Amino acid sequence: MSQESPPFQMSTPASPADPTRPAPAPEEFAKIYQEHGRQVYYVALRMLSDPTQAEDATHDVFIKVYRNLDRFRGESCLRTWLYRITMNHCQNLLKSWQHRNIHSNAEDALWETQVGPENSPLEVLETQELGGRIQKTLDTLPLEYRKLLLLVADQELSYEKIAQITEQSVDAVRGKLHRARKAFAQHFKTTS
Amino acid sequence: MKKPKNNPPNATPTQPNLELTPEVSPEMQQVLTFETVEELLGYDFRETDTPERIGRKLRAALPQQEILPLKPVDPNATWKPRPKE
Repeated sequence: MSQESPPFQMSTPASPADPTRPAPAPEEFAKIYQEHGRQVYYVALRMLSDPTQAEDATHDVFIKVYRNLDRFRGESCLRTWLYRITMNHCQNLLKSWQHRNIHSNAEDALWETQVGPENSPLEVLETQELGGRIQKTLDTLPLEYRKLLLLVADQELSYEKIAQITEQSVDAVRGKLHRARKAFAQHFKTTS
Repeated sequence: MKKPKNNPPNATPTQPNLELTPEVSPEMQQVLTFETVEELLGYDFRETDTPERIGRKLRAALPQQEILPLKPVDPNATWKPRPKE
């Protein structure tokens, strides 16, 4: 099991909208949601394994974005910032669920299972089941691997940006991604 | 990198070891081939619908904002591998 990085922290926690602070221009916030809403929902869905929770999480993330938009400007790329907020939010939810034993990871045993050969192409039958298999596979992986795989699946994110989001070196990202890909491919085969 | 392909029902599967039987439905015979995990996840992202409820809830929470429908995913998008570094 790899070491977990500390949860991402925004510069300040999301708080109720400051009435002295001007609200973001409507077209500005609307554009952010329109362009990035899908990515935020997808990452939340695959991190939380629950469509309803992912819906709520996406809503909450964009409320945080709205309240903190003025803190973002000039600090980093918008996409990087959004991923940090999303992953931080989902990670906090997962931790609170674990504390309350709401979510049990029934696939822990699967993580230890030895499976087939590595690095072969992934073949998939029945496209309808694909999402379920991917989710099942991701659920067996350590959270850090899951986060890295979801980030690297976004072609617009360089390894450098993934390193920024996950607060580690680019070399560490590369090494962990290598192990994460291998673990994913192995476990994916067991879900068919 | 090749694009994931949805073979027509009568096409020969791209992998010889799929062990499809004659009874398998045309839907079952659809074969998707992915060479990398990120390619698979990229496909999964494009195929995952985002609930419209999120936009409606945001509109209710932020009535002064003009929450527009999400941009559709390009159905013809293909996976582009990162350049080797």
